[in-house]
Amino acid sequence: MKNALVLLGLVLIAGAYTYYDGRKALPQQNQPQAADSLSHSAPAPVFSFTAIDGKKYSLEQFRGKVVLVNFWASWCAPCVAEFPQMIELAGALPDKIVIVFMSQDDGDKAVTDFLKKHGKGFEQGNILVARDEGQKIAKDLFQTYKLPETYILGPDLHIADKVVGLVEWNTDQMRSKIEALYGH
Amino acid sequence: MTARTLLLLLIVLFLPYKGWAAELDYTDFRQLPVQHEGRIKPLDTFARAILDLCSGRQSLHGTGADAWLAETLFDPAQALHRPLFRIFRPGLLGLPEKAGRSYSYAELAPALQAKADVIARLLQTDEKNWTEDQRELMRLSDAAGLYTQLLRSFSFALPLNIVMPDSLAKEWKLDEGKTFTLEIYRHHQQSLKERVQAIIRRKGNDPARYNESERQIAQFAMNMQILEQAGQNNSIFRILPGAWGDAKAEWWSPWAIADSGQGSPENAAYLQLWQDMAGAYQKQDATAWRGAAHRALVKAKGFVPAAPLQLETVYNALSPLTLASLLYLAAFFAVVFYSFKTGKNIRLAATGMLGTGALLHAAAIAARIVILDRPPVGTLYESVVFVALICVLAALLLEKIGKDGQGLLIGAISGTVLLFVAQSFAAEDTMKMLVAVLNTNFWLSTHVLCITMGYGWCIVASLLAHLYLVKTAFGKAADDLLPYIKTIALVALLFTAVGTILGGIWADQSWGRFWGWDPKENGALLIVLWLLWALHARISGNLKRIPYVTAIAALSVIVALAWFGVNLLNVGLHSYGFISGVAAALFTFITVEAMLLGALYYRISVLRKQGTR
Repeated sequence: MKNALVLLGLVLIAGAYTYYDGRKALPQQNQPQAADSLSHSAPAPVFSFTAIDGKKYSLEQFRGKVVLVNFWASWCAPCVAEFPQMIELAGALPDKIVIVFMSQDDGDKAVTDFLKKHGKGFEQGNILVARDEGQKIAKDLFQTYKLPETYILGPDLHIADKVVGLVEWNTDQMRSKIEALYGH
Repeated sequence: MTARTLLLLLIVLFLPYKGWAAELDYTDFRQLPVQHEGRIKPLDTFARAILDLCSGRQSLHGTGADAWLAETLFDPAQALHRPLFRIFRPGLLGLPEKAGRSYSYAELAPALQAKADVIARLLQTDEKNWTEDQRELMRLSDAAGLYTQLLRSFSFALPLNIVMPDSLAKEWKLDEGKTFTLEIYRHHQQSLKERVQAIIRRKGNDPARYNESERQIAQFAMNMQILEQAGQNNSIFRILPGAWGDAKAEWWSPWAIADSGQGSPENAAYLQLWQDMAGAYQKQDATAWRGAAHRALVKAKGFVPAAPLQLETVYNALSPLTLASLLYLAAFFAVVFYSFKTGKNIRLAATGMLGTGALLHAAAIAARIVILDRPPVGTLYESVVFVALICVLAALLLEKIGKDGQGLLIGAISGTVLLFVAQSFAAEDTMKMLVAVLNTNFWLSTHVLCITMGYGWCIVASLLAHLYLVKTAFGKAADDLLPYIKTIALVALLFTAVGTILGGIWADQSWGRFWGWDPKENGALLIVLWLLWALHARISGNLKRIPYVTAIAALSVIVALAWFGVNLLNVGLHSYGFISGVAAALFTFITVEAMLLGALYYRISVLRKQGTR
């Protein structure tokens, strides 16, 4: 009787372990061991900037709205290629998003020359163009080295996502994603 | 490649060769996480593994691996003069013979560069055909390549001893006296590129047409480009976790993070703490160093569990398996002493040493389970360590029943010898991730543990049988051992038979067939068949007592063949277990065992004929 109970106990333990092991997510084959990645919902670094028109802003001013911080440069072709769609997106959600185009150019002249040439649509109220003096915001705060990169910040100014490279911005999926950040 | 890198490293602020830096506190530094060989481990383990690869040791000239790593990362100009590489055949590379056979990177790199053609040709050939000299050359080439990467892992944040054109310094607002680094250069990279393009537009590609200022700018741009390129593909030092998309499970080196798109504010802040550590190290500011390392560790705890890293550093520091093997050895001497001078206290002391050794041994295995987050046996090394524990525990159980010191003797011998054997595989033990087919906790904890427990019980049965034969051969009564031998052989049969069947089920799930006459499967079956044969032949009376005990004693050979021998065949699906270099040891073991068992059998036969027994 005692032996039977011990045997039963062992079978139950083995069964429980099998169940537990089955429920545990198995590591993907040939993939490095997954570690807890950095939190996507970490607060964005605090920074302020001067727009190309001379007005001063701080990120905190945009609390309550979704903020897109786009790192670009006038010499970066993919950056320029995605501007029209970003401007359309800003137009489609005027009260919901603010786009900060943070130029990595060396001097203000490069930015103003660029805006003179391609500046149609940048005059919208929810679009700001600024230059990242010494690339401190991009490189020191956001660790952005390759352009374009866009950080999407939620209304609480926490980082919701980062988009690397040229993408389509004015899509249903993107608009839904931004709406979702309001918790609708 | 190596010579160019050496040149580049020399551009980095040069410091005359000196002794080790004043002692800094590496307590927090050694716990910082790094992804290496597919898993997150503390820097301590990483440093030991790389140092071991280069020098064959886990400390250098009395200094720990952590201090060595810190110097390599933060003071590479000093590190490249440090005698590090152990070279067994210096003549191969035209290097002079040296006491200690330790050579610095500064000595090795040019020597390897001179052999670049040979190395390139060897890379095109099958390594199975390499001679010992060629193998040594490639070992050194690999180690130097790895070390080169490590030396440059942090070079973007280190001061550069490079002449900067005044016009650029003024334009980039770099104060005099402020150290210039690649990281600062990266902020102005585009502007420099535009300046150079403007010069080329005006005056073309021929530097002879440039004025002094233009020439300085062009030269500076070229140097910076070389330094920047040297950092590309530098991926060994993965200290930054990915943050985005599909690649977030991977970690990234400081160089790679810039190009990967995996940068994030969190990573930027963490990397800044690393840069603070670099600054503190260079100034040898112990307080700043301790503070930066502590802040980095606190930050790292935000994205990786701290407990396994801490446990691993303790495991590395204590080396519990070495302590256990020493205790087993001490227990062995105590038991030998006990056999000459029987005394309760001696037996108690031997039991205490064996028991404490077993506790440390079990704790080491438990620590590895936590660290690796998987069952304890996944590699050949781990199987030897686990089998050793099974043997010691079984022997302690035997001693509890018999209370005559025989269990202690079996435990001390098996524990010492097996942990000694494990040491020969220890070089391969960097606690790396397992190959995909093994990476399943369920089967590792059932089939593999079952089979290895079977090996352990087989070894205990075999040792008891040896003891029986030795005692009998020397005319001492040993019949009291027979019931133990039979019981333990039956337990061994149970574990090996169940383990073999479970292996078949696993094979069916993984490879789509239950049985494929794979050498490893045949080896496991061989143990089962040997035990079945010996036990049944004894029960049916076909084997007399001495041949039966000899057959059980010969289990050691059968187990050795199944455990290590089949790996030498280099065929079959169990390719993760292939080993080289043990053929001679295995052959010696089998020969010695055969001679020993033959001699004992012969002596017992002679004694019997003489009627002595």
